[in-house]
Amino acid sequence: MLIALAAAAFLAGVTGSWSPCGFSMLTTLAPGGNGQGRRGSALGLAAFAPGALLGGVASFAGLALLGHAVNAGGHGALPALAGGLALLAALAEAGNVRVRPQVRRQVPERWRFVMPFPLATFAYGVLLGLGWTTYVLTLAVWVLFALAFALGDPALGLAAGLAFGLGRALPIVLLAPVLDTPGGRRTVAAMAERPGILRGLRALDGAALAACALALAPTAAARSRPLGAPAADPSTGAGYVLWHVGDRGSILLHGGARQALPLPDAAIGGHRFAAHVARSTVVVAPLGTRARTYTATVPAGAALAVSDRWLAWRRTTHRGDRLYALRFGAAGERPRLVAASGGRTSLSRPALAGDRLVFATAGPRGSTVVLADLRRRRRRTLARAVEAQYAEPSLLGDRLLVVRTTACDQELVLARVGGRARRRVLYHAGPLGARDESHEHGYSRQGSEPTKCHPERPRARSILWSTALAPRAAYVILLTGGRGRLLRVPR
Amino acid sequence: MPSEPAGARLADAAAAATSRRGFLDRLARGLMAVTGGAAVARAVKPGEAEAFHFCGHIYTTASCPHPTGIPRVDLHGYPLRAKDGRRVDDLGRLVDHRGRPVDERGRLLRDPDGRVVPEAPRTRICLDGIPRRYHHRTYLDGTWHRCCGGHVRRLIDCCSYSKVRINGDASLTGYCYQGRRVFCVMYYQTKVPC
Repeated sequence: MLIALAAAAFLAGVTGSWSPCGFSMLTTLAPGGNGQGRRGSALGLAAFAPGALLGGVASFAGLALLGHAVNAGGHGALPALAGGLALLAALAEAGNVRVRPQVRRQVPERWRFVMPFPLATFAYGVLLGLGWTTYVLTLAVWVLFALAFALGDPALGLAAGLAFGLGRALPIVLLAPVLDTPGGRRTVAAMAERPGILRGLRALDGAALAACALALAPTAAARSRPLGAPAADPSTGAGYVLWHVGDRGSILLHGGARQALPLPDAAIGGHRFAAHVARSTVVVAPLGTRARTYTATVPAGAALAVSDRWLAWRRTTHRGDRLYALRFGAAGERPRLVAASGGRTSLSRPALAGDRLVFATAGPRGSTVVLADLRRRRRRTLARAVEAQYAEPSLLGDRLLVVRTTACDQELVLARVGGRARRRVLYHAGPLGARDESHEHGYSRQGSEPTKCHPERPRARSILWSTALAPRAAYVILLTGGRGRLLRVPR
Repeated sequence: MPSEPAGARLADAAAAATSRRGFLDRLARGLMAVTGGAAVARAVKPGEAEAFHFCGHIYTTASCPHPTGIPRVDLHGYPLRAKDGRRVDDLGRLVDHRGRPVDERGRLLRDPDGRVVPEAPRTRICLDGIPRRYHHRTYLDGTWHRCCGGHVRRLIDCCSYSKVRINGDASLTGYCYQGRRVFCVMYYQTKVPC
């Protein structure tokens, strides 16, 4: 988003050079255009460029701060609306549609006579950098303002402002000193007499806006879609997705085709399918391959996970939760206790990827995500938190998917196991508890800042619950009143 | 907090002057003055405490971070939901007396398998939460009581030796002792009518 927004802002700034003010600046800042000579021109340019940057930052960062303050916040309908607007404007730019609304104003010519020249050019720079005080040559300016506000991210606003200011300043700074040369004159003539150049620039503006719209599209719910309800405990493998539908059985989805299975306790992983077929008997069968079938003794009601080599399950007893793993195919292999919890701490459903098992713990002392290497019999805590709770992780290759809940929101997080790569939030939902305004009604907001969330989101109706990870999508259960529905979120 | 410096008093006075309650206070004082009670008006502070971001709190120190926003706590410093005084955990969920998450009607939250969803920590706002987040030890020293919403409210300063308060500027003495200063504030609402 940062790159797309900055590129669009830069191009919009450059396009502004074709405005009456842009041309005026070119001629005014040229060595022969101000009566100050080459030195005066250089001083003027040195003042004009920071002014343009300052103006750009004031407009874009100001709008972003405003958006941040009113919790436009980058989520919900506003960014989606701004994205839609960007797409429309992209089409309009490609079609060279007349710019509306238009600001039919110019920088005050008087200033160059009544002010010291550098001060006047600095002020001109500020006005041009602001973007909304003089003629606008591209719709991108208005759309970028809307985006800065809707995203409500001051860092993005700052970047867009600097890029816009740079776009406004750079053509002038590069061209004005050589304006009196034959090359400079040819360039200005081309600018003035070849409308195709401006049209081409506007088409570029359109492309950059389309890129912004595209970058906005992956945010949150817009691209996620529900797959079914009721639903619980999804798992994935070999292009299949499987989820439970209560006590009735499971649904197996492959290539758009759904198959209802009369197996309420089932899981898939790697190229395997595992299901309780009788009380205490689990069958592990191949999924789309001709591999062997195994049976294992697993207590009824245990939450299953399977990979190409391992079967794992969580069993809940009166003493707490227990996680077991069994390597199938090896003669004499017995179930191995991987983790146990007692008291008020609970263990999540296990998830397997190859020889690795991942699970979360949660309780009054905090929450962890633990990775167990079943082959090497080693364990590693991937994440630990007291003020956040991790739930129902899943694993695919070196990618971990987990639900992270805080007092401010719920996130479906995709991270690299053991890597420094930045974690990505694939899906957001509001907090589980209703948040108040952080100040009492009729009282000032002063002093409420440290206890606020940034951004403040409305309370979610659903709990983000169990997850599954596939190469191109993540799956998460949205739990409302004990009933789940499955959501597919593109990665 | 009787020992606030003059600058803070000025700032607070300015803020009070801009609030609705500040206006009502000035109006009440004016009426008293008109009716010959000017001296009394100068001496008497409003019974229903006015000013900043929650009732009873005066001066500018900000709230301690609280899972649902307004920093209401129980007698032991654990978080309560401000609007009804029900227990909440660190995730802001309503919880029962054992710390298990419940819905608005008090029913346990369960997953599709019928398991109760996992508990989360429930942290004392000042004594545990602030040290964990801001890495300095905190203390509960003195308190003050005011009448808020028809009940007596205890205003609690979360004290530490930090010279910087949660607002990010210089901390004030408030009700803190032995060189400690107010880091952030919270309150406990009693059931005592006033």
